[in-house]
Amino acid sequence: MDRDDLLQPTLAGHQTRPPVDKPWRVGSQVYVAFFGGALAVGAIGALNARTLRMSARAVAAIAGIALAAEAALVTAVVATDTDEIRIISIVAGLAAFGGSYLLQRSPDRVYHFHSDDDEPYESLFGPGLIACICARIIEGILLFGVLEA
Amino acid sequence: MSDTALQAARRYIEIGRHRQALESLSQLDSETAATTEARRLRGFAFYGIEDFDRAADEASDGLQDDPQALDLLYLLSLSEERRGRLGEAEAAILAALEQDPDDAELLCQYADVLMRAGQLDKAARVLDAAAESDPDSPDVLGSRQSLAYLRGDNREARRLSEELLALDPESIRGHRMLGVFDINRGRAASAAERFGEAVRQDPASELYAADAREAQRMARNPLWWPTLFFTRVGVVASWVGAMVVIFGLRAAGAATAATIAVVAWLALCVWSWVVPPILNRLER
Repeated sequence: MDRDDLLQPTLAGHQTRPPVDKPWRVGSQVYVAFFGGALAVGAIGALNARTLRMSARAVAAIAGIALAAEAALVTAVVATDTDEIRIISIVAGLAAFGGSYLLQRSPDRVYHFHSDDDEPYESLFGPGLIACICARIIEGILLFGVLEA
Repeated sequence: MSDTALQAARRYIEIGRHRQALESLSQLDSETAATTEARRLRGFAFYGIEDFDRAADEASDGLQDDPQALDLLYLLSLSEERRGRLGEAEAAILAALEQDPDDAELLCQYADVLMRAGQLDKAARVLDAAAESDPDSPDVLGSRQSLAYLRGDNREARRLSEELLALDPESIRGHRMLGVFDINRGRAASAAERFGEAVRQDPASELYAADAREAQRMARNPLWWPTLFFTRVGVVASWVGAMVVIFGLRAAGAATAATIAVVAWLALCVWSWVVPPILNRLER
């Protein structure tokens, strides 16, 4: 790319962030991963990625990682016939969080580094709790169905 | 009288006393106050006190008289960037770069606008071009430091911050970045010192003052300390460590100790999840 190409405008349609549109702390999502598992942290990560204005591809990647971790959980439970489902679910959740964290880290830094707001983040407590409860119900139904089949 | 007031305003801006500069400029007669130079000085003074709307207005008005004025285009880009109008900030800095495409300071400003928009790869290429033009520029070093941090390359960002402070021990960017690293590692007292140094260099900046206030609150209030411990150890390391301890105790047959570890761990997790937002609300 020569100098002329480099100095072509690429921000013409850039939208200003509305003040109410705040993301969640990426680090706090680890609690959702621990208590809610891969599905919960995937949902929270994908929603946060949208708030951070990440590309559709990145949002899909976060959701994909969470689904892959959940699939691995189901496979491990079926293959090993283990009783330690809770532990495997936590491991799957933390693995999904790891991928999601790496994808969100740079956009989150761009947001936080340039934010003038005293409190630039929304609390994850409410949405995280809802995500944990919903994901545990879905995961329970999923595992019950698989183990019964 | 007008010449003296302009000179005084110029001097006040050089030493960071923007309000006094505005007072001097308010003494100008109407004819001098409408000149490009007076608008330029007023614009930079407004920018210095973080009144970005009026800074942009002054720059735009000045550009109507002199559309090619590089410093006004630069000021307009700075002000529009801080207002969040990144398309306008880009247009202004590109208009300046059209006249002088090799100016490292202008290229760094363009890179800063791109970084704010999240276009980090293009920002890196712009900074490469700036470094070609002026390899020893502290502006390039400062922008490279920000870029490394935004990309998640902490080691490189820290190295560049230290290099920047070796070149200029009063560098606000250098102190702020090392303060950010300190706070990210749970070292609130050290971060407060770093941010305090940035505030001393630029007392008008509300951003640096807010950083310093937050770090001081965290360092002084013991209710923050469990959260700082978490931050200091790191998210991944703390969770891996907790799992190793809990399951290690369980595997060793120490069920009671494992239960205590689980309870302590969960209490710490819940604390660091619930308490910081409450403290943030109470302390403001």
